[in-house]
Amino acid sequence: MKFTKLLLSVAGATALTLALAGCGSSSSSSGNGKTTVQFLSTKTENASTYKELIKEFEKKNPKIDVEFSSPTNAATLLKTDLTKGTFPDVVGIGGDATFVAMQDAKVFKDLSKESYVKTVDPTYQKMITSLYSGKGLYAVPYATNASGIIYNKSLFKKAGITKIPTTWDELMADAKTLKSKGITPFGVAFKDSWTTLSPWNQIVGNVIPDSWIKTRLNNKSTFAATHKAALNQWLEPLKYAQKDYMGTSYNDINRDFANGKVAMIINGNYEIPEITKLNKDIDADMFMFPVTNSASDNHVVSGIDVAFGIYNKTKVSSAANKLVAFLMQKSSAEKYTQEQFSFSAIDGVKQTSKLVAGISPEIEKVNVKNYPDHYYPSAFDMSKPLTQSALNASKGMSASQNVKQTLQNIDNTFNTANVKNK
Amino acid sequence: MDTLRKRTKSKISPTLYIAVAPMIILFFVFHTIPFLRGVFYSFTDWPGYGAWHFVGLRNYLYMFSNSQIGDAYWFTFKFALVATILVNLISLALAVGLNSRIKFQNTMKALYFLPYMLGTLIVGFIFNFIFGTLIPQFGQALNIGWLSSNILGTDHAWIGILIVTIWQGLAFNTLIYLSGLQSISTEIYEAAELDGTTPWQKFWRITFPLIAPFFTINLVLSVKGYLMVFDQIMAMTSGGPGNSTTSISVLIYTQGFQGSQFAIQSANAVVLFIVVAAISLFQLRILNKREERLQ
Amino acid sequence: MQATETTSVKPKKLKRERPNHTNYTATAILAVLAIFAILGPLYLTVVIALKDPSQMNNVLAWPSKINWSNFKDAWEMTDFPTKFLNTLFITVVNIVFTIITNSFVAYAITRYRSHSKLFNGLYYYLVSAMFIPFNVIMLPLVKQVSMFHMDNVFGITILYIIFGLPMNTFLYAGFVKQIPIALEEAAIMDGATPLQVFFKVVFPIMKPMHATVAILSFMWTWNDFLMPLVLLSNPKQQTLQLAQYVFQGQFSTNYNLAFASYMLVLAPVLLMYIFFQRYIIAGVTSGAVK
Repeated sequence: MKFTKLLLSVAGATALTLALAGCGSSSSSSGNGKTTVQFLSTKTENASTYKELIKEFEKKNPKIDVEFSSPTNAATLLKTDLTKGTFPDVVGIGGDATFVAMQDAKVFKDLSKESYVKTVDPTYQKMITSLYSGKGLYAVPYATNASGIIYNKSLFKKAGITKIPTTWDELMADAKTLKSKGITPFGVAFKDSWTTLSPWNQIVGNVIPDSWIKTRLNNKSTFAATHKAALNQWLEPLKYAQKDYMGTSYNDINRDFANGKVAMIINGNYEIPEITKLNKDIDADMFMFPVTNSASDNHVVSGIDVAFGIYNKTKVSSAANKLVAFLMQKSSAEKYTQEQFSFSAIDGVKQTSKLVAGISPEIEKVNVKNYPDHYYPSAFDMSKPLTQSALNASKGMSASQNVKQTLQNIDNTFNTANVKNK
Repeated sequence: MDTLRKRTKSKISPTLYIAVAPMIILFFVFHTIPFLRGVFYSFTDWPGYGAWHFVGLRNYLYMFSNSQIGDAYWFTFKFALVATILVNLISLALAVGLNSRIKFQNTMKALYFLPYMLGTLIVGFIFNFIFGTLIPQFGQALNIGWLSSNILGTDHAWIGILIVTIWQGLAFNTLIYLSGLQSISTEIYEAAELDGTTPWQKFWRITFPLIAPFFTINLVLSVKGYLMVFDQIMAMTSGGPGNSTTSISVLIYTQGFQGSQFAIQSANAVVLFIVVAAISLFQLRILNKREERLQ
Repeated sequence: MQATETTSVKPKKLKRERPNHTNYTATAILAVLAIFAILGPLYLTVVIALKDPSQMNNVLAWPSKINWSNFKDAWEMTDFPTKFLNTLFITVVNIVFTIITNSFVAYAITRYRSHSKLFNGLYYYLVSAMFIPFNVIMLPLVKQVSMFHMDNVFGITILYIIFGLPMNTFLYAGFVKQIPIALEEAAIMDGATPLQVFFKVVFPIMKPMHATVAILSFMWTWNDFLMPLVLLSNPKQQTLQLAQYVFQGQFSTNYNLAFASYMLVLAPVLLMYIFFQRYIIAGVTSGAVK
């Protein structure tokens, strides 16, 4: 009997707290008169910078509470939110396939009339508007990234390499030199499949014409017919990678690089803050991935790394707008640019770090190309066939067979994803 | 007694119906309706938001043409089969060991049951480190080639998932077999010993038939659980390398949301339901029959 | 519960199962296996959680200087108190309401199954729902739950109570069948209403099964990952398990921080297991075997 009574009283008590708590916490403005703004970032590398900026913002706006999150696998979580019909008030998102899907679902507010947009370089605005049809600016560009090769200067010196490679052949020759000196030339982290995409985008962006993807989407061309050389080139650095490149994660390779165990990583500037976290004195820099053998034909693949979008059904639109305006301020942008080694979309904010000195001029010259994979269908995940291909290579499959098999695989997966759902 | 029973029979108090109704209605609303809606969506092209149209059986036909879905089924079946067999074999052996006259029997039992208490996701993260860092370090130090790389980055990644699953799955199954073994009275064995049976015969002729019901429970629960494998994969490989460890559940989650294949994965879920139900029913029938025959 | 009966019997010659003397070979094998396979990974977790990154050269060695700050950092970074309270709330409320509501439904349906076609139908309805795994209804459920604004701690708690119903009905049904009906009939003769009969007579008798259901519900909700993953996107609403996944990216290379965070999640369960291990084992066993 006692047991029953105990249970019933606990049940009663919880029901009461449930009823009481239910009133306050689920609504967006909490009981203490504060407005809560949910802010989600799709990147994890910049979390600490955001957190500091948010602290500053909350100090200036004591009535606003910012709930920040930068989850693992943010793209999937955002899509789940779409299905649920709920959405964070402010999103920091890349100009990528996820953004395109969000834009398709019409979740963002047109920000083109906001005052902070005036400070944004029109080139970068175009990078966002080119991703969708129709007028308006549905995400305001904040930071751009630069793909390329992050290299350890001391290791290069140690191997006697004095000149940065500007052609593909030079790059491969340097890799050979490094290897002969007992230094691992490339650090590859294919356990995290997304890292397969950076070299792919840089190669394809440079050797395949931009217009090609349209013919592919209309099934007038195939990867098999056009991407053979690109895939061969993509596989080449694996020969100079550390041994267990399929079992190494993004975090592992950052640590190895920070500890001077590998000389180069083919990825982008967003990786640098992760490395400096582990070794703030590292003597490193970036250079453009020399994809072709004609130095002047090589471009940096660059895109919008962060753009801010505001949910069009947000209940806290003025607070959300205040937050975005604060982040877009010159001082905030300068802090972000400095800490994240990124390139600002905001006029007058310059990137001066020596860790990206080798690539900054190219970005300033706008010698850039777009990410090809942003135009692939959203159900198509290029990283899967690429990881499979790298796995084949690690097992010793001949390049010709691997290329043939992989391109076929890419075409098949592309076709099944390229279903018009309209 | 009989008259009383008739009295209760003749009138079921309406309060009973009223008191049961809320839970049943809630269950219907949050379990049955989503299920029916899932079936409904599987005949549409709904991406999870916005407009939709009926597309008939297109999603189901697509499933057969899509190698990714085929691979996921192949991986899941292979995984569930091997995991079920290994988990049950090893846990049966462990249970026999724990049931023999060992020292610290209760402590050992508690130790072997411990993994059941831990969340699969975190166990996955811990093993992720073991496979990714610890074992390769040993392998390199001892110069053993196959140990010095991360198994999760090879064709055998599924074995890594399997090891974690076995590590955790053993706990429950061992406990069940153990309680089965403990329910057998020692006299039966003594009688058998007088007949001069070998230990092996004794196991198959006496022990096994007596613990057959426990075998049934374990088998049904294992297969059903392993066909749903999700947490450890998300913790360790996210389905990679390539698609080699993408289970049906992982596929439904990643493609259903991320890949904008809400309708297609709804069809996949319906097929999964049919498969799970069919396998469970089939198992129950076969095993019940065998149980009867054995007894 | 099950005391190991050590039946002292006449001298025997060939005994594998229960010889009179302790089986040291089996003891040794099982002990070594338990230490390496079961305790090994747990030891690893503790050791890594107590080190700082510079002490990671020999991973398995006990740290020369214990570094508690990992726990503090993990505590702050993952907002442990919020996540812990969320998880605790879900777990406790779920257990209490599951026991009260599910046992009643199971009792009513099982007891009056033979008298009522409706209840008989409901029994089969609920038990057959056991064949519908969560993954099957996941996609539409996500849609529906947000329609009802249940994508929060309260909503998910209600869902756990509802989703446990098929399994718990099955568990309670087996138990109800063993309760002699005479007790209830006596109460009815005394003029008790059906609800009184249940709460005053039957409910206390069901105590062993309540324990089992409580333990299984606890294990399910405390360790569940998939349902929070798809339903709880607001960081303030997330559970401990989900937080581990969400913060995986932010832990980045700091394994020590990550493992300290795992320890924080495992510790409550481990503590509980140390104290209630006998009851937990007994409860799980009777749930599966009955």
